[in-house]
Amino acid sequence: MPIPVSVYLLFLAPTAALLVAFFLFRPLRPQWTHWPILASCAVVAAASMDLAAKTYTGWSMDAPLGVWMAAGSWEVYFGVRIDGLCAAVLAMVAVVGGLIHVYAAGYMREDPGFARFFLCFHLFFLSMIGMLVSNNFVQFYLFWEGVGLCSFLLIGFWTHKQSARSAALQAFVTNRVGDLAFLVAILILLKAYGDTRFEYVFGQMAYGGGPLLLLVGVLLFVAAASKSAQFPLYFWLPDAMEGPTPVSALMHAATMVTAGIFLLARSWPLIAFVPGLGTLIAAVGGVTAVFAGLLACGQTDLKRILAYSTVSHLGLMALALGLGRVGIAVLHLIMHGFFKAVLFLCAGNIAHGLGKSAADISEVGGLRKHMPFTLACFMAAAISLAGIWPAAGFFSKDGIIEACLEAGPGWAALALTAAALGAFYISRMLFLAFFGPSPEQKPGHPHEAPAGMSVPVGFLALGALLAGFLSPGIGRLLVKGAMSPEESLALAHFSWPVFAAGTSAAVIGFAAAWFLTIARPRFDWTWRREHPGLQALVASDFGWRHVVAFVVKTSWRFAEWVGGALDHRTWDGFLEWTSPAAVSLGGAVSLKSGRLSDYMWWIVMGTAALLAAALI
Amino acid sequence: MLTALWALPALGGVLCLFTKGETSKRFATTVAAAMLGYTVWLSCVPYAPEAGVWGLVESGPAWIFGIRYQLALDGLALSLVWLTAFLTVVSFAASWRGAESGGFSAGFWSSFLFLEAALMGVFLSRDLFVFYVFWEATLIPMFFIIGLWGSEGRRHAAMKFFLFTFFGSLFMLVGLLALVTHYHAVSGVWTWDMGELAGANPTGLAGLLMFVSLIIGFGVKIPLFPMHTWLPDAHTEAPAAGSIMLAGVMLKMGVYGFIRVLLPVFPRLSWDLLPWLGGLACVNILYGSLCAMQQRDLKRLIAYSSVAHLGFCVLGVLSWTPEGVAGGSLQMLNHGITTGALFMMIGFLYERTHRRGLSDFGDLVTRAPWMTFFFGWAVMASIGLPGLNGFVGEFMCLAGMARALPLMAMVAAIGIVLSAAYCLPAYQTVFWGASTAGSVSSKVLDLDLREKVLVWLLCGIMLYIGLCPTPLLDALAPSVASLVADGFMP
Amino acid sequence: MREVLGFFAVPSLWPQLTLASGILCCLAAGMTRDVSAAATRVLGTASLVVALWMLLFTAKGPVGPLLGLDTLGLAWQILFYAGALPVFLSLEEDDEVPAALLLGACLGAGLLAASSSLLMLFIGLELMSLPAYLLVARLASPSAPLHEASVKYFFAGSLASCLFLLGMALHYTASGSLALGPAPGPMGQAALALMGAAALFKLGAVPFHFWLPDVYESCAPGLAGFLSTSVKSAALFLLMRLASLGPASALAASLPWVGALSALYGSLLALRQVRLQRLLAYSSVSHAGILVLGVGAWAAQGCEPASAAPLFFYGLVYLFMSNGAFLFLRHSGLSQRGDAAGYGKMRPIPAALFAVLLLSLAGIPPTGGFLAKLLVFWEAVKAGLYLPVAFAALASLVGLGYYLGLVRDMFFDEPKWRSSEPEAGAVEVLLWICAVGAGLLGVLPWIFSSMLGRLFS
Repeated sequence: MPIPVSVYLLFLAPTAALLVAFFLFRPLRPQWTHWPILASCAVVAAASMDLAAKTYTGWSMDAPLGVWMAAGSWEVYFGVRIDGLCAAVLAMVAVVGGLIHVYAAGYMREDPGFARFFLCFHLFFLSMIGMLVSNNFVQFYLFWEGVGLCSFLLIGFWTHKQSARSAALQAFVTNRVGDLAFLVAILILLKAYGDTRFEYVFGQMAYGGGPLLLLVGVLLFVAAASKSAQFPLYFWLPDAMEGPTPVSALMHAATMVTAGIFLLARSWPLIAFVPGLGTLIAAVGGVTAVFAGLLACGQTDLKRILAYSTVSHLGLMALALGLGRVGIAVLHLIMHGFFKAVLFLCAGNIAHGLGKSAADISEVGGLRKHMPFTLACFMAAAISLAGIWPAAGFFSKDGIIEACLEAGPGWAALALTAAALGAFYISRMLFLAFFGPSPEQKPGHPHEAPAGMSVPVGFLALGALLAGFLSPGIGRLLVKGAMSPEESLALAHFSWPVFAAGTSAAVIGFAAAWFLTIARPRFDWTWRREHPGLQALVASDFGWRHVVAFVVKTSWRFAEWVGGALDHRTWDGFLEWTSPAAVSLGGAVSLKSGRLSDYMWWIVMGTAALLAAALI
Repeated sequence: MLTALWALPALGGVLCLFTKGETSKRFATTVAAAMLGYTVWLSCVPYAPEAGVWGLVESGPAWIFGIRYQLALDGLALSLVWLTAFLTVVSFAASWRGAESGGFSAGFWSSFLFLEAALMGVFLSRDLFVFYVFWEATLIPMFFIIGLWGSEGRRHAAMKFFLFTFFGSLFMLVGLLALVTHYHAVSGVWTWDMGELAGANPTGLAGLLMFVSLIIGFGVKIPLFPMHTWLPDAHTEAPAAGSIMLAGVMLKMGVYGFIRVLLPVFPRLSWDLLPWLGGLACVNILYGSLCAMQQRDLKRLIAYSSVAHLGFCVLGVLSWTPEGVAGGSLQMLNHGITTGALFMMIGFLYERTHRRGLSDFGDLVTRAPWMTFFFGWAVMASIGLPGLNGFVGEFMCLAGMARALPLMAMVAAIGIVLSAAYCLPAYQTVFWGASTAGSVSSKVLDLDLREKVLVWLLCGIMLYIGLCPTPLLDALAPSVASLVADGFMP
Repeated sequence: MREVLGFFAVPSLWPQLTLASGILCCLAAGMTRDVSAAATRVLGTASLVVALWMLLFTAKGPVGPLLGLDTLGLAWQILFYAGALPVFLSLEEDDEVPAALLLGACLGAGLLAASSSLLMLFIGLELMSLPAYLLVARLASPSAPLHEASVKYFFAGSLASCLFLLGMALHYTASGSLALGPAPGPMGQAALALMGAAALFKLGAVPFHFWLPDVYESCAPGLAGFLSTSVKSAALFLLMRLASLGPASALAASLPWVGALSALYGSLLALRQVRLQRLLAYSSVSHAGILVLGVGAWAAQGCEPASAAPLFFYGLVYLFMSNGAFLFLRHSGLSQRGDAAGYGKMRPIPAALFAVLLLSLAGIPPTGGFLAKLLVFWEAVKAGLYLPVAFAALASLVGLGYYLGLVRDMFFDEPKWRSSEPEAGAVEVLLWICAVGAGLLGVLPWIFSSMLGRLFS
């Protein structure tokens, strides 16, 4: 099968751009580093559109490109798989990611680490693309970890900030826990099938795989949970806000966190094969959605609100996916990419306007006068997030609610609560930032961002508003060349009861937000002061952060004990002691008196011993 | 042709003793570079396919009791010979700026040539007696390298290094004697030839005792838990070049012994004892990582990380699967290159500041961006980031072990979380962070051209092996196949 | 007359006759007033060299009822004579007596080698020992307490001679002959044990060793070298002769354990020593232990002369190592262990030679000491003596503590004092020979393997 040029371009353009930028622009013209990279984004976007179009017409491919590792008959390949699932997500990632690149060029303009930033940023993008088109688990893992590396470098981009460093470390190590699960899953698959190509594994699975497959499914979910920030491994994501805002946008919208959901969607045949796993995923997702939604309502940092909102939405995706509605989960992933990118970039613009790297709600307020364009974009994304027709978010969230309503009242309660919470926290943010100012706020004199930063946000906001109308197309695209059962990829159809339920949840959230911020403008500040216990509970994520801190500290203590007390003092101390002990032993057995009579005595004794040996 | 591989550096070492100052440096480096060229040329020599696994064989006259001077080269030996020659050059280049300031510089350079000679001998010899002699001969130059040109604790570390490894060697010697005697009792032939002894397969209590002695002998070198405590001291106190050779090549001798001697001679026992040995390797991985976590000295940290990495090698080799053995062999190379690069860069730092503590630095990213970049690269290779060399080796080792004992592979895999947990905080403290009061970061100059070229070379190799290990794996394939047939379980 | 002339015509005894005439020449030279130290040195060395050369012409076989030469006797004479060569350099007084005494001791050892009866064995032993007692008094190191060591040596040695005589008597009672043959029954076993004790005393095995450190410490380094090589080889030879009288005897069976014990004990004690000569004395106890273990292994395999080659090789290497080490002490003038600190930085070349000798003594490849130890251990493994071998190996590890510790002190420490100008000339040449010999015997042992093959075939 001939491989289209577009596939090669997906890899070659970013690689070439990175090399050129690193070796040519960075040393010579660091402030131009973004040009080759933006060009590469354009190429990638075009190529992914081309592939999406090809796929839409029924084409798909799955081909090896070359051997990676081999020993005896054991082999691991590099390969490419382009099917509907991949093409749909790829198109979103390329478009949204490309626009965020454009935005970043403006946002990071003044930063001394501009070149470094762009190189890492683009590597992030490249890793994500490589992951989407992988045709086997090992290659998937390669890019999966590449994403992790880039997140480490970018979250900790401002290396002088202690909080940024520890956030980067926390993100990487937590992700490594998921990587461990992923790696073990791969090892089991390799043992069971000797191959990790998706097509092969899912094909063989039908002939049975035994209880090991169960484990693989669970492990894959753990991996996805760490990358896609599901409870209990979500905590790294809100802290990851320490990076520059474009990083957060890229990470939340297009690259990092979607990887886990994509992995689950990709391995859906396997996950569906494991009884009960879907329910588990749905439950974890639902709990995460509500849990993070609640926390988002209590945050004060703009980016942290959005971060918890991402966690909540990832929970919704997992919920839908766990209920067997892979198509809807992926659709939500795509829609979420658009509106979350806008929200982050708007937050970035606000911070930029204030001349800071992050903004707290106490520092903003009444921005509608200073930043009308940002307000428009933000509102578009906010109604999309809240799931109000006709914005993009409505189409996917409606599908999730429908799936939950079908599955049972418990599920429906979870989804609707999450939806109402979503509407609440985003409206709260909207009101606090752009309306007001409340009496507790100290509004500055922010200004609108320059065109380089506004235009991409505008395009993305259009996407957040209108992409929903593409959903039938996306739905059709998803089923092309898919390995998952077609019914799981089907999108929901419009129905009034679902519309009513979803919209009323959003309206309830909206009304509550209006009541607590506009009608009672002091509320958001006073409850914190009046109920410090509640405030502490929110700050510690209902206590979960204490648990995590305890686990980390205990492990660290254990390592200290092993390395210090056990290894260094006890064991090595013992070994070191043998040397002086030998010297002392020499002293103890020397029997040295210097007297001739003693010498004679010992000779006689020795002879007597020999004689005794001879005669007995 | 093969004798020259060890005889030339040895001769160079002797000649180097008669030179002085700069001349000895230049002379020794020329010899090392020539050896590198020679090994590269050797790897291009087409071997006759009918020669089998052993591409080149060289045999001397028989001596007493079946001892015979025999050298041979196959893919596995070649890869390690290449590593030895390469890292010798690297360690010379890394000490260019006067690491031999302990005095007697001719001795410094010639010690490395002697070390290279002995290491070549270990990897080439086909006769266990010759193997043992070369094995032990590596100790003497390293003893002097640590003791004469090391840092403050060098006196103690050199002694500890020698005593520990000699302890292991004594066991190994007694084990080898027993093995040869046993083989004579069975077959009536006196021989020390590895290939011939490979048919011995001793079992029972006697076999077990021999096996355990050899494990101790090889294990001290690797180092296997609990015989590892010499390593942090030796690595820490040795000069940078010494650490490169120690970690880069000398630790591999133990794993090489596993592949060459232990497994072929005791297939039955090593299969039966796999849970124990594999468990030991797992302990190595986890315990080494945990110890590494709380080290406050960069060199000690990397030293403990070597304990963990070598655990992966052992795990792979013990799995008796093609991917495991190939992965273990590859991981030896990988570890040599990665840890070599890390020790080299720590050496650069030490050269500039005479400090190694984590808290002595901070904010190097602004002072020395290139160093930060390359160190980060090597750290990522070390923690097994896919795309760099460490992953390929570790993954193949784990895949092999997963086929033999899945549970063990899963336990060992925890190492990948721990490796991130010990490497990255240290990396952040030293290179990111803010410089604190006692920091000496202001003294650090960035890499100069010579250093940059060297590190580029090493990092390039890391990337190359990470993405395209097939040429190396192909070279290793015959040796691996001769040890394990596909799907073979003894 | 004819008998006497016939006696001289036997080439087997020419080496001994050469030494005897050497003694006469020395004494004759002493009659002239102005004999110089140089003359006695030359005379003594020449006699030994000629005696060694004569060995080429000796033939195996009996010479009368008391004397006779076999493979072992022939081979071991090399060790006796060659080991004595460096000691002549220690003769500094213008006095012929020490030279004559040294030659006398060698003659005694030579007779020991050529004896084929217990009587002659005893005569040879005494002829070797008596000059040694005197020499210890004569060639004492300046700091030694006056003749104390010599007296201790003499009295303890006399006790050993008594034991030997008693053993001879029992042997005669048991077997009815003084010839070197097996003696049946418990009495024969007891006889062997008593004589074995005497031999172990001479060898310095535990617990018969107490005299040894005192003696080695108090005599001149050269003489200590002589005692630790020639005299010790003679004692080893004696022990082997006794063991071959009863390869299955209780004595032979206990030898491996005595050896292992001595090896470990000597090593442990040497760790504590601060005086270098005493340290080397304990090291020689340790090496004697390994030799005794080797004799035990040899006996356990039936006392075949051919399989004594490892023991001979060990003796040969030890000859280089021990003489070399004592020569270094003389060359450098070091006496305390602490003085050695930093010596390598002051005088790198002699220190390097000493380091080679020390590594060889420790048994590190690729030196001769390693190969020697390996061959002995191997014999023991073949004989199934695993546990004693393990002890001896442990002793090697402990030994590393002081051998390598010395190397460390010499090279890694900073010098604390200015060394005196080392003695150049013959001492230095001999030091070179010993170090290179000890090193090369490990690297190129096949040079000697042909010699061993010729001797022991």
